[in-house]
Amino acid sequence: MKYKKLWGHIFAKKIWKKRITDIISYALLLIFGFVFIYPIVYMILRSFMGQGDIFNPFVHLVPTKPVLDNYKLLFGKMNFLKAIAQSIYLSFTSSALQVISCGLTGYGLSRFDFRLKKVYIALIIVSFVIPSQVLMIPTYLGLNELGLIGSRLSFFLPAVLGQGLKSSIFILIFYNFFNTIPRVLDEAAQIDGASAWIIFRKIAIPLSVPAVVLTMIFSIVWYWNESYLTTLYINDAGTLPIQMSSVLSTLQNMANKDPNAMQVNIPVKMAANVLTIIPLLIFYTVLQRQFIESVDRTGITGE
Amino acid sequence: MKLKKKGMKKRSALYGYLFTLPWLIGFLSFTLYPLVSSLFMSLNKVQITGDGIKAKYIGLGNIVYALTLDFEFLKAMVETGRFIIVLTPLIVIISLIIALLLNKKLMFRTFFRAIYFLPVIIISGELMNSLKNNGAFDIIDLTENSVLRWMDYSNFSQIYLIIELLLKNVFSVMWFSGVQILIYLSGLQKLDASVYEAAYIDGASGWQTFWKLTLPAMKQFTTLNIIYTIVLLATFPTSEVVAMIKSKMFGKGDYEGLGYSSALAWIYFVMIILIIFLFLMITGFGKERKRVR
Repeated sequence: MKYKKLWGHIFAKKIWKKRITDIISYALLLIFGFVFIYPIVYMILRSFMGQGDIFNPFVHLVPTKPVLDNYKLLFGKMNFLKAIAQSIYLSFTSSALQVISCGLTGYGLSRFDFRLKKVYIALIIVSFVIPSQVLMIPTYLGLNELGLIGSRLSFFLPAVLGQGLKSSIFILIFYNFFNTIPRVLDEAAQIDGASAWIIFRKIAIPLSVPAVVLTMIFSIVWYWNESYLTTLYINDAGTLPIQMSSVLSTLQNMANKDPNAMQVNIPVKMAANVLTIIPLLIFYTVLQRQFIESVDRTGITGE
Repeated sequence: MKLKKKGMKKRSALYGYLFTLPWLIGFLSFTLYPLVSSLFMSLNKVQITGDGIKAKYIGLGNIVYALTLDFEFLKAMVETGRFIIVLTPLIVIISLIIALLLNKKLMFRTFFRAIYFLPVIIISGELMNSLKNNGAFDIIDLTENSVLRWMDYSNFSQIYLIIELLLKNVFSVMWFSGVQILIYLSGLQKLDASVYEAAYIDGASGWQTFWKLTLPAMKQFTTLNIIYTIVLLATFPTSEVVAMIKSKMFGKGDYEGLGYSSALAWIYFVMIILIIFLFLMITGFGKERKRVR
């Protein structure tokens, strides 16, 4: 009797149903995960392939004899650490300025009532849809007029005025985030005689760590990967992605002139890619937990 | 008392304007002014000469030329438009599926999340181009099958083009879905568990609860994701039109230069807006409001 009950329990329809859906879920997660991770694995493995493996039809992914030649070639042509320093300088500063301005704007929109508030929010949403290609020509001319073309200020100035890369998203994240903080806190502080600035500094900023972490990570990464506008506004910014593509084209030129020089083949290009994203990968691994936690706590989107 | 309240209201408004002042200055100088200015420029022939910038008003000349005679641009527009229209639904659907999976209480959840957000961190125009052109996304070639080849030879060539586009890019576009997954996840986390319990007690299956509860609740996030995806795909540097606008900026030819580039950018902008409206109409955005009335 007892066994029968247990047996029945094991074969209960609901448990099996749950188990099957779990298995399907894992399978789907693995399949999608494979698709997501495959290009990265491909890139890393290819970057270690030597000349012999490229033309070997039996070699698909894993190199038979991993070599460092591709990396050596690239390191010989560039100052890797300097490029990283340039990238860090540009992206971290822009991002810090952007987060400050977006945080202030989001706070202002969330905490205070003023007549143009709805208009502001509508404008912020609309400006997200405007492609940067429409704005970049007059912006270029305007920055040129101010003598800022070629200077990093051409990135810092829009960032500090809430117009950096995808700033609308960050403003809306902060707006939604501050909306979730109960106003009772402010009112209590107000009764104790705190000014709006003190409330912002002593209550809002300490509470907004998750939102700051989240926006900071996105902002740094997007500035890091940006080179469409960087090449236009700063020209020789010397950031890692820009340096890397210029190194690749120099190597290509050399190979075109001298048939004995090393060709810019897929492994070399993949090594260049790996070097470009390695700082980001390290950055992501270090901050990964904070990132996911802050996604959970910020909730990104609101009603 | 009333007076004091009025004063507080006034002060609140003042602080509101103060906190948003940097943004307002930025909006006027880096968004509104460039927007109006580029519209004006698109109606001019603008050349950079030794003594500054010269603009000559030519009315709709740039726009008419671009839309009738600039075949290179038209081809790029059609291709980019088709790319966005075909792949946006795919990206949004995939991100919903992944978000649903990640929202389950499964083992290794953090690990999977880390994998799915990885592309968001590293994706850039150069990387995408380099990976795409060098076979990193060719996991399996889905376009090599007899059904597709048959379609190619028979009269379904338009459908063939769409399916081919879809299959060719199915792996690479997944990398564009990171932020959308995040948006869906945060939406799913806000769902009320008690409603699901009630549905479960009433005997609703998982399939039914998805269609009747989850999907309607995700509607605003779907709208958001559609808009985000369209804007992302449209402004990504791998887009041919985007590259063309930049490359023509400093050209010296008759239909090149800042004015013509601005005209191209504006035509592109209008196309993006039209695509967004098309999708909003299909997904029936705003229907709910009518029902309430």
